[in-house]
This record gives sequence, C-alpha cells and structure tokens, in this order.
Amino acid sequence: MIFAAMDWHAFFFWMFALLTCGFALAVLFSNNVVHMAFYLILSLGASAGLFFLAGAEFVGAMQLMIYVGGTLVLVIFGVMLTAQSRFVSMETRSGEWVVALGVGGSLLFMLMITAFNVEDWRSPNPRQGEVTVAETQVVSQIGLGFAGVRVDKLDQPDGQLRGGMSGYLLPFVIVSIHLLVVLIGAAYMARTKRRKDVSGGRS
Amino acid sequence: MFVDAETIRLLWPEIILIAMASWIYIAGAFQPHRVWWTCFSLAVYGVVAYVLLGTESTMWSAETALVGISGPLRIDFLGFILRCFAVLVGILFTLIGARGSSRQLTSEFLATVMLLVAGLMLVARANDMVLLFVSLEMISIPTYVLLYLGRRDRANSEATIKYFFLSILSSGLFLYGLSFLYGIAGTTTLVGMMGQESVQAAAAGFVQEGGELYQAMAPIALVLLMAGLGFKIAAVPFHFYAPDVYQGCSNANAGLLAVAPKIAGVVAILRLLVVAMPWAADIGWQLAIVLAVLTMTIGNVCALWQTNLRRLMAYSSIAHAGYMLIGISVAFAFHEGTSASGGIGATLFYLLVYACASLGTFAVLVALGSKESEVSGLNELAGLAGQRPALAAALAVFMFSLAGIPPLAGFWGKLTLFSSAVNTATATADNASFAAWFTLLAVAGALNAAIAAAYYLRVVAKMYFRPAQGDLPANGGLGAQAAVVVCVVLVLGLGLFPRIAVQVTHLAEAAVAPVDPGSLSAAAAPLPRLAGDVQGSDDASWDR
Amino acid sequence: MIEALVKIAILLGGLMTAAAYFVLLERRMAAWIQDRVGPNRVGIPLTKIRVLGLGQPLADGVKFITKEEYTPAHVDKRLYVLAPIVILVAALATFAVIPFGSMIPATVFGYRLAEKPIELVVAPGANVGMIYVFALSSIAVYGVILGGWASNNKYSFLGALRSSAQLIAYELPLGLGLLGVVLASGSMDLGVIIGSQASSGIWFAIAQPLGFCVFVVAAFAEAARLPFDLPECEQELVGGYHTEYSGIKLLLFLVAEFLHMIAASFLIVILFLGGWHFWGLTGGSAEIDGWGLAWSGAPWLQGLLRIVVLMTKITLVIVGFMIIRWSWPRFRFDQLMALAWKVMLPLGLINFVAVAMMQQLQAVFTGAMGPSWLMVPIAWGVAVAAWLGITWAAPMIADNRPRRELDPWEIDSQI
Repeated sequence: MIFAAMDWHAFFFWMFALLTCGFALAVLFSNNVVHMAFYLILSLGASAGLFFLAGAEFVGAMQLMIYVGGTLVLVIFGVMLTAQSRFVSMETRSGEWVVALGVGGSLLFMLMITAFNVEDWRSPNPRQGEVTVAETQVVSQIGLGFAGVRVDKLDQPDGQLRGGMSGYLLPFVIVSIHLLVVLIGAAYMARTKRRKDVSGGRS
Repeated sequence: MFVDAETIRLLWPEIILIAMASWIYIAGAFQPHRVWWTCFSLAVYGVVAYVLLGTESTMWSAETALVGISGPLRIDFLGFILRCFAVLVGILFTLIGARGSSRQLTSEFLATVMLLVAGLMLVARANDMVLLFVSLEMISIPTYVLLYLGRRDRANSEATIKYFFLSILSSGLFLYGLSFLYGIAGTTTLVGMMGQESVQAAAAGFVQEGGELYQAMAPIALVLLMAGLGFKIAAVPFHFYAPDVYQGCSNANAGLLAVAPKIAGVVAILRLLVVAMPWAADIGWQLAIVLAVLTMTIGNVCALWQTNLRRLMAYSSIAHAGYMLIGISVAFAFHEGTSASGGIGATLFYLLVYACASLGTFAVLVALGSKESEVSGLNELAGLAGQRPALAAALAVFMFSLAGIPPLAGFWGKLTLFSSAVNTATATADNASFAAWFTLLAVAGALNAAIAAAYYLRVVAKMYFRPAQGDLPANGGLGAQAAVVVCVVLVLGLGLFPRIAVQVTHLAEAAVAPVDPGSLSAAAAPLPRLAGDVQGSDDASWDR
Repeated sequence: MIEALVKIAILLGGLMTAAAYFVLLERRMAAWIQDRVGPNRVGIPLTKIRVLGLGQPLADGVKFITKEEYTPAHVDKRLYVLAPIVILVAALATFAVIPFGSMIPATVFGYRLAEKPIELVVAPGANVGMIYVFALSSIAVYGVILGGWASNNKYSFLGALRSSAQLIAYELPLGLGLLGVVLASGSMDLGVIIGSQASSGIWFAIAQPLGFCVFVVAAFAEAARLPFDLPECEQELVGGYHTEYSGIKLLLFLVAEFLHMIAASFLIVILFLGGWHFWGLTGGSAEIDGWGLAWSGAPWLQGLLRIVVLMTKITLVIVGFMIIRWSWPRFRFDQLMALAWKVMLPLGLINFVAVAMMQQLQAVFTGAMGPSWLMVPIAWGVAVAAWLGITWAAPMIADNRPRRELDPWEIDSQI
C-alpha cells in the first residue's frame, strides 16, 4: 500500500515548511503591496499547518483565526483602501536592501547558531516511534488557565507553591483594559468630524 | 489556585486607578469640565497614594527587605518604591498635561494617563513573563493614544505613527525573546525561573544532560529581550526614533515619553534580565557595557549641535539611558562573581534623579508655552532670565542636575553609578579583563559627563547671557507651575540629602536579588504579616 | 489514512453533486415563487427524455467549462486567478470537521472494515472544531476581497469592500450565538455538541431560542444570501466581486457560494437542530447501539437513519434559505450595519449571559450541566423580553429614512 508506506508526517512537514518559507520569500521579493499581503496570508496559513502537524491544534486554529482570518483581513482592507497607484508598487532601494540584509542576516545567524549548538537537535531522534505529539484535548484547559485555574498544576503537592501558579487571570483582565484604551483611541481617530452649524457661518 | 484574595488586596491601588479611569471615560462624556476632572484625578491619585502607603509601608522595615510572592505578583521593596514613584509621575503628568489638551478631550487625557500609571505600577510588581509583557503594553498603548490626543497636525501624526510602529516592533522582539526564555525555563514565573531545576543546572555550568540547550539559547534570548527593552529606554542602536518623535509631539507628551517608558524599561531589564537570568550574565555584562558606551557617546555627541529643545532633550534622554546601562552592566557582573555590588541600587537612584529633572524640564517648557504656541527652539529661550526669572532659575536647576553638577541630585546619581563601576573594577583586580572593561566604562562615563555639560550649560547660557528675542506667552497654567515646583523640590532635596534615597535604593537592591535558589521555597510562602513592624517613615521620606 | 481518504472522496463528491442540484432546486423554487415553470427541459443526454429537468446541472457545468475563459487586460493576473481558488479551497476545507452523519459500524457482513466504528467526519475528535470552522469562514472573505480588487473595476471593488465589512460585522453575533451552545454542551467538538442534544433530547433551538435567532441571521449574512447579498447585488453592482469573471472561474465562485450556504445549514442543524437526532427514531446515545436490538443489521439501519435524518434537516434548512431569498427585499447598507451592531450583538450578549447564568443555577440546584426542560420556559421568556427590549431601545432599525435626514449635522473635515 503506497499510502501506508509513505512517511506522511515528514511529507506534510516538508510541504508546510517549504510553503511557509517560500511565501515568506515571496513577500520579500514582491513589489506590489497587495501581493505582499496575500503572500503573507499564505505563509502564515502554512505555518498554521505546521502547528496542526505538531499536535498543537488550538494554536494552529488560533493562528488561522487571529492572524490569517482577523489581522490580515484588516491589513488587506487597509492596503486596498489606501493604496493609490503610486503606493501600490514599492521599489526597494539598494541601500535598504543592504540594511535589511544586515539586520535579518544577523538574526538568522544567531538563530542558526542557537539551533546548531543544541546537541540533541543535530541528529534525528533514535527513538522516533516513541515520540508522542502534544496532547490535543486542551481547549478547556486553556480556557480554565485564563480563568485562573491551572489544571495541569492541580496535583502540585506543595500547597504553598500553588500560589505562584495561579493561571493567567490577571493578564487576561489587563488585556481587556488594553482593548478599552484601543477602542478609545480608535474612536477618536475615526470619529465623524462634524459640527452643528449647518449654515456654515463659522467655517 | 485561583488568584486569591491576598493578590487582589495587594492590587487595590491599580484596581482603584483602573476603575476610576473607566468612570472618567464614561462620565467625561456628560461633564466636560477641565478643572473639575483635573481635581478629581488628583484626588484619585491621593487616594491611591494613601492606600499604597497605608497598606504596604507597614511591611517594610529599614533592615528587613521582605520578599514574598502572591500569585503572579512579587512583593518586594523595589516594587514598592517604584509604585510610589509611578503615582508621583501620574500626579505630575496630570498637572502638566491637563491644560494642554483640548477642552473636550481632557477627561480622556486624564483617564488614559491613569491607565498608564496603573501599567507602570504593574510592571513594578510583575513576577510573570505574561503579566510583565501585558503590563509593558499597558504603558505603550495609552502612550499611543496620548500622543495622538496631544495635537492634531501633520508632524504630530507622523511622530505618533513612527512611535507606534517602532514600539510594536520592539514588542515583537521582546515577545520573541520571551518565547526563547520560556523554552529554556519551562515556566512563566520569574522567580520560578530561578528555581527550576533545569535552569539551576544551566547556572551550575551546563553539566547535566540537556544543559547545552540553555547554553545555546541564552544568548539569543538575552539579545532579543535587550533589543525589545532597548527600544523602551531608547538605547543605541534602538534610539533612532527618539529625536524625531520628541520633536514631533507636544512638550507634555515628550516629557511622558522621556520618563514613563524609561522607568518601565529599566525595571523590566532589572527584573527580567539581571535577576531572573543569572545564567546569562556572562554575555549580559559584555552586551551592557558595549551598549552603555555607545549609547552615552552617541547621545551626548549628537546633542551638541541641536537647536530644537525637544530634540536636544531626546538625545539627552538617550545619553541618560547609557548611564543607566552602566549600572546594569555592574549588576550583571555581580552574578559573575565580583564581590562588589551596588549596580541595581545605583541604576534605580539614577532613574529617579533623571526622571525628576527631565519631567521638571518639560514642565518648564509647558509652563512657558500656551495652548496655541509651544516653545520648541533653543533660541526662544534667549533672555528668559530677565522675563521669567523664577522659571529660568528652575530650568537652570534641572539643567545643572542633568549635567551632574554638584550639589544637585544628578551629581550624586552619576557619582554612585561611576563608583559602582570603579568598585567592580577594583574588586576584581585579579581578573584583568574585568577590571580593564569596567575601568574603561567609568572613564567613558566621566568623559561623557564632560561632553554633556557643554550642551546643558549652553541652554543656561542662552537664558542668562543673551538678549531677549521676543516675549514667550508663559501661559501654561497653574498645574505646570506646580509641577515645576514639585520637581525643583525633589531635585534639590535629593541633591542636598542624597543619603536617604541612596539607602532606600540599596535596600531595594537587597530585596530584588535572592539569587540563592534554596531560599525560594521560603520566598514562595504566603506573605507574612509584619503589622507590628511599622517603620515606614524612612521609606516614604523621599516621596514628600 | 485510507479511511480518511475515502471519507474525503465521499464528501467532495457529495458536496459537488449537492451544490449542482441545489442550483437546480433554487431555480425551480424561484420559478415557483414567481409563478413560472423554471428549467424543466434538459433530461438524459442524447435522448429526448425529460426527467423534470434533472439534466440541467450537467448542461450548466458543460456550458461553464466550454465557454471562453476570458481574462480582461486590466486585471491583476495573479490574484485574479488565485481568488476563486482560495474561496473554493476555504469553503471545502471547512467540511473537514463537520460531521455528515453519526457513525457506521466497523463490520459489514462479518468483514471488518476498521478497528472501531467509523465516525462520519473527516477529522474526528477535533477538539477545536468550531474554532477551525470560524477560522476558515474568515478566510473565505479573502476570495471575495482579492477577486474584487484584482478585477480592477469599481463595482467589483465596492462589492469586495462591502463584503469584508459585512463579514467582519456579522462574525461577532455568529460567535456569540455559538458561545451559548458551547457553554451548554461544554465542548467545541461538533460531534459532542450533537451528542449533548441527543442524550437530553432538547435541541438547542428549543433551549436557547434567542441564540438560535442570532445565529441564523448571522449565518445568512456570512453566507451572503439575500437579504444580505450586498457584496454581489446584481441591481447595484452588476454582480459585485465576480463581475469580471467568466467560465470556469465564475463557476468556482458560484460553487463556493453554494458551499457556504450548505456549510451554514450544516452548522445551523448541528448546533441548534439536534444534528442527526430525532425523537424516538435515532436513539439518544452518541454510539450506535442498534436500539439495543439483537439483530446484527440494527446498527447499520440506525447509522443510515441518522444520516437520512441529518440530510433531511439540512435540505429543509436550505429550502428555507431559498424561500427567504426569493421573498425578502435586500437591506440597505446602513440598515445592515445597524442590524449587526445594534440588534444582533446586544441580543447575542444577552443570550450568552442568560445561558451562563442558567447553567450555573442548574449546576447549583441539580448538580448537572447541559440542556434541561426546566430551563426552556425561562429561555423563551428571556428571548421574548430581549426582543421587545431591543425593539423599544433601537427604533432606528425600524425607521427607514437615511441617517442624514434624521440627524442634520454637517460634516467638517477640519475639526
């Protein structure tokens, strides 16, 4: 059976990885802003595939929903609304290329160093069959974590140590304050600038 | 397991601020009266200060720097003094900025400042990566809104957008660094990070199995986190936004930018990089030294030929970030086995001194302007001493303090910083490279102080020795003048009686660094009540 | 792997056929409502036999494929080609987590098909099922936006802009309507949601009428069907985002639209109308037990019956979609937005809070979560009260005049 014989996990990994990197490069080498945004969508979508493959279904679905389905819709929306003909095509000057290559290259270099410095990562895991992908039934656990209950720490024997593991209720609440401020700011930026004086005497 | 009542009780000041800010947002729509809302928010800050001092000053005594953990919060003296300072900053901004904002937007301005102060207070307390990050964002996001509310013209919009994008980039770098950190430590709590067995293995010389993971990842985590926080404190090479943004926005907002992100950034560096990542200190001190020398030098040299006041102050704030990095590098080096300490204390002291003087400078600029026209050119100050002697004198005090001229606060700040570097150099005379590096650092700092004096004194000379060119409106309002008075008192007080403040900051340093992982299980215990131990007078004295 | 491939093949074939025949059904329904005859000529090819026009979809398909595939010169070629593909892929991928039946037994005539009973869903046990559906439904908007932009045509672009605003606005009530269901059933897995309704016998449409209303209206808007078809309204925008498309690419857009409608009906049926469950007919447990009969064919019969029940419900909902399409006028854009933000969003929030409180009360007093008959009258009371309250509080949605007549302020760009 050809389907059974193939290493599907590896196949999908390479496929998603290549798609992610390829479209990321396409973002880089494209001159049209809308094309760039579109390639970014594809790149992020493929990285969501990588998350699914690693068993992190929740993260993958969130990647799709928040980045691909939420943020980038707004990006494309904004780009299309504001992109006049002279802004649609962005020519990158050679100086900018040099700077970008310097910054990006050094980051890549550091990441490579990091990756290759870890002994375990240099060769394939000898016990590959025993590796279990992440536990996938986690949605309610994550939800409870946001509500302040770390289900995974309930069996912590030391009662005093549990105090420091009190989930993420505070950050969760603080994020709602962020959203309040963002809404206030957005409302001021977008408010209708109008005045009662219909006759136009004061203008 | 849940966030318990203890944690909530410890957060009362923040909860009051946030609730009142929401109330101002809502009620401000119906009652757009500027003076009323300014008084209201000052009253809120008063209540917050009372709650803060009332509930917490009883916990500390001059000798015992209690360390406790409650949920994602860390209770120590550093957090306490920074929270007090955050309230003070909030009061000063309320005074400075209320008049500058347009009538309809006063309530929004005040409420947003309140949320920003709450963010600062949370940063001072955070013991959790996630909480630290969202608290830092709680400073950044209100800042965007404040910058936008400040003025509505092209330059301001450009400055706001520039700050917005770069700040988001820095947050991204910071988060990326946090993800590596989480990968190393396997926990999000900062204290837990020190306590994790795996991380202890990393600290113990990477001998155990899997140890190389930490060794490999520590540099990139450190560099990314440093980059993210470097934006916040405007350290080279992440400083380039500062001059443009300061120049573009209003004087009050420039003051905000010069102070709030800097406090938060320095605290986050101390808490996250210096204290929680002792195993990365060997790269940390080298990185901090290089950044410190570069930042000081570039900031000071570029400031020399600035003619726009806000631009000048921007470069000055960059330079001061460099000085603070000296203390941070000393603190890093402490983990590397030098016997001398004092880095964290010196940095904190310098931070307080810088913030007072810098805020005071911007308060003077606001007081000199009016709603229609703002002071921005250096030449506009010419002959100020004749027209507005009091404000000119105050500005001169701030300039002298920033330049580090005795007996003002800035002098003591620089002295503690440089002496901590020299101490590190001399205490490790057996390690030649260590000694050489820190001696070099101290020399570079001293040279830079000399350069800096040139442009600060240029401002003073302009005010006192040049003929007046025109009349400044000097219609910035009572609030700004009050803020100037407060800042002058602080700068003079810290200058004349530096001992108390230096002691307080060293106490904070002692509290912040329980490096011994063995003490952690004790640290994680619920907060003991020290109600009988009321000796809060010392700690609160600098606040008056 | 083979099991999944077979399921995918069945699903794809079924969906494509269904989409084709729903087009025919829609045309016949339209004709019926407008008192016409509709397409009834095309029968078996190469013969003269007409079977109620059942050959029409085939003829349509051949027509679309053989037509000249004209690409206008002024379009952005890359995105113009990619847009219909994106929309179709997103529409199809949604069905990966949507069950199209309950399950079928592992053995047939003594031959073992699989280790355990086969669940009729491509990705069984997807813990994040609903999140995934939401994620993909928001990806579908890219097809519309990019198609509209790439066409380089004002009408198309307007359609794209309307579409993105509409989809973003209605995603919130959609999510709020869903949250009540997730709260009551305790899972995002669509299979578990059906199981919770089947075991208690209370469909969520009965237990949460308000959530049902909100979800159905939002689902209509997400599927961009009339009365919410502003992105493509023929009268104003000449077809909206697919004005410039022809041939097979147009076909892809139209198929994707039908797939959206089918997906919406699947979700309505699964979340609110009990999925494969029908009282006294299909049994209440999620496993197929063959009603406890000893006969070896009983599990098979039960499994097939569940599929039939599900499909019947879906067909009925789709017919409902079509009747509404041909009997309702289109909203104006400001009415559309007002409906989303001022009516559906508050109603969804009320439903969510009410469900949360009811669940908590139930847990306190009876110690059990999930739907229960006790809560049904309360839920209907809440629904009626909320509906009356919204009607009283937002008269603007009933007022048909444009806003500038109600509120004569002048717009001044200088402030």
